[in-house]
Amino acid sequence: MKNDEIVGLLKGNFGEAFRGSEELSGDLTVKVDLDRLHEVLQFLRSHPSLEFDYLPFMTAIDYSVYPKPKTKEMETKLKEAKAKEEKIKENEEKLKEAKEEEAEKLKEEIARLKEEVVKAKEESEKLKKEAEREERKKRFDIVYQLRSTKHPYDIRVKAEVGEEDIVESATDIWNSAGCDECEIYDMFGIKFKNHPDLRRILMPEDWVGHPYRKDYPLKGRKEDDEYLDTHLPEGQLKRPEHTRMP
Amino acid sequence: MNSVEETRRVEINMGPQHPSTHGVGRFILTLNGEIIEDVKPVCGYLHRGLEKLAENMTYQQFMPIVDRLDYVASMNNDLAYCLAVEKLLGMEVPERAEYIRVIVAELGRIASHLIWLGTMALDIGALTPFFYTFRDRETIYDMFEEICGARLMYNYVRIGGVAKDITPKFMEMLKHFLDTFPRLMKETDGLLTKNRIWMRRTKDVGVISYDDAINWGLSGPSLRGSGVNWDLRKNRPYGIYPSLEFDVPYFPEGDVYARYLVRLEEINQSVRILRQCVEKIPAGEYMNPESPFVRPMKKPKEGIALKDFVLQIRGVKMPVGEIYFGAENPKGELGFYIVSDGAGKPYRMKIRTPSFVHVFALPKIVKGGLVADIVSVISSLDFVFGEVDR
Amino acid sequence: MMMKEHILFADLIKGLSITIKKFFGPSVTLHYPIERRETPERMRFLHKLVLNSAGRPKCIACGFCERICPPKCIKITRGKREDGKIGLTGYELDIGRCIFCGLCVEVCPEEAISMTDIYELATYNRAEAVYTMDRLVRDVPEKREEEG
Repeated sequence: MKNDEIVGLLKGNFGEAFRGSEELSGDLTVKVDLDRLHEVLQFLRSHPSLEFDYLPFMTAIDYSVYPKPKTKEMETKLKEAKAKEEKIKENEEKLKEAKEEEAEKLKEEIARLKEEVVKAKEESEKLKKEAEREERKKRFDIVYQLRSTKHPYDIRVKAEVGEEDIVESATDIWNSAGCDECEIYDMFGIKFKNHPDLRRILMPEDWVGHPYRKDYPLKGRKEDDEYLDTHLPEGQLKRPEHTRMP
Repeated sequence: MNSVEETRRVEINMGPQHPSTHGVGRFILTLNGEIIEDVKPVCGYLHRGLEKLAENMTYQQFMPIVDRLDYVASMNNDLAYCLAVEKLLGMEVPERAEYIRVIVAELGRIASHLIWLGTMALDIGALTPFFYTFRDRETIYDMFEEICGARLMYNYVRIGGVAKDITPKFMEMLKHFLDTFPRLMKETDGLLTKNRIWMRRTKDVGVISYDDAINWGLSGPSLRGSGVNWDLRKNRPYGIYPSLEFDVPYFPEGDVYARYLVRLEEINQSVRILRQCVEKIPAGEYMNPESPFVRPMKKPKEGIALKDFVLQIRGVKMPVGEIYFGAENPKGELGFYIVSDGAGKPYRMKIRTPSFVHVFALPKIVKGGLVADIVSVISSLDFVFGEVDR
Repeated sequence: MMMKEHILFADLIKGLSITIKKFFGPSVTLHYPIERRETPERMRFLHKLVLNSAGRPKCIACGFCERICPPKCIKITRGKREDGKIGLTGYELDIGRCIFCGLCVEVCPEEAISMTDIYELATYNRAEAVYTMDRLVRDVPEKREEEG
């Protein structure tokens, strides 16, 4: 079964809940609705010709500062391509009248310009695809990487999750989801229901904030730094400003 | 539950400063007499937020940080990270570099397994193998020092190839190592494999079945110890592994002894791979000359161009998209999930480490067993806390 | 295990014979402060600022090393030098933070920084671990000029 067949199977079974698919270097990503996410996962696990029985990891992504599509850049790229096409035409006309020495030079220039036009068009198309993408309504994406140990397939399932949403735990399908869900709860603050033991596993239990969110400062909170600076033992240097991460 | 039963239940705190937790791991055990009723792993003592750090560093800058994941198999970490970034870029690697990478990765695998073997024997009570394995590991570290100048944090594999070419002295050392090591390995094998105390401590201890091993996400040798014929080098091939001959050892028992046998056999298979590489290694480039990461590395005698400044400030521009790449590391599957927004820094990087999953599969394996066995189960799963906490 | 082997203690005798053999074998350890290992060509330890023919650091203060350094332990100051030209006036390297990855050496376009084989860097306080330009140029004995 090829990647598009898996996509077709999902489309046929889930209809509107299926939100599209992407492929990069052989990695298949499908997007589904959060409401039917658990159903999709169960389907992928139990379908006899797929059998995604192994969950390498699951994680979340905070999309709050993801760059917006560059429509302006796309337009300028297209304009450049058009200008270059016109120049090619000009040169071709010149070529008809030109002498031998000049003709070779012109030919080279035309070939170079043609390559540039192809490149510019490709780039603008890429940007166009990005621009056409739906605008996000929710902050996070939750990601499940699935793998089948019986068949040679890998798939990534994504769903949009808001800050208030509660995701249904996947521990009843793969037990290895348990620790990853704890990590997501710890680092992003996304809550899960039906999880056997949801707790903060990496940060202390009384920690304020969720470190992997994009609005959490890299250096840590200012209060903590100030506390450390004022409580250093005698003879110890303060951490120099330049060594603190930017 | 009556009061007699309640008083029988004891909670024991194991770690974070316990010698057999291999780092700063902490486990809260609930005991009923000598039987383990529950285990609660507590981690985070070594949490450095590497995933957050990655978002604020260029791809090149993050290289040395990757070494600090599984600090006893840094070469393999480097390789996994580079392969992930190369997958995102769609970059080709010269053939010589591929061979060098396999050589260092398999040497790293042997070194990691030797540490595991020594410390596991130490945990169970056999002191001698520890000295023998560390003696052999030292020769491997000497070889690594010869090619990259560091003994533990190599920072040797690069995006697009390797940092420096291997030296003739290294090849001599490697050939000598391949001649002597199998004989030395037999010593350790003779000390342990058939030893009656060793077998009593490991056979039928910490059993996990085929289906459970997959469902709980075990990977690498721990998965193969449960009879799963699974190796990413075979099942999701990468690099030049498809052109090399090696077997994937697996044992169906699923106990500590099976995991021990798998790792022991893996060392022999790594030696086999190394022998083929020494024969086949071609001459040529050790770094892809088109790699954008080489540019600041080379010495531009003609002076610094504006391009170099831009590269240093922004980093190399990457294609937009997301990829996941998992490589077979000594401990299991180490994977990098990179989301790129086109900038020189990753938008988000998730590091899938085998040890993190293994720690949380521990309760499943040790529940119902004796408290004395938890030490041998922990060492047979072979986790390193630099990887668990990231 | 075979019954015969079990009664004859074959496994234990085998183990003992291996350890006894080692007793007469050569030693594999070094008496560290007295004996020292030979350091290889590509050693990555304490940094050193390379001087040019005029006796000044070769560094042109481009700031590549400062920027690529993962733990941000290098600090470069630029300004007016004694001879009136604008250039490097200060170079600070915090060994307490350095992870010895060697990226600063690789990135340098002028080969102005290199690594020596001095590896005994422990200090009594953190202030001593900060190497200023003078210390990086003068205090470092010239054991090895360049690495391969």
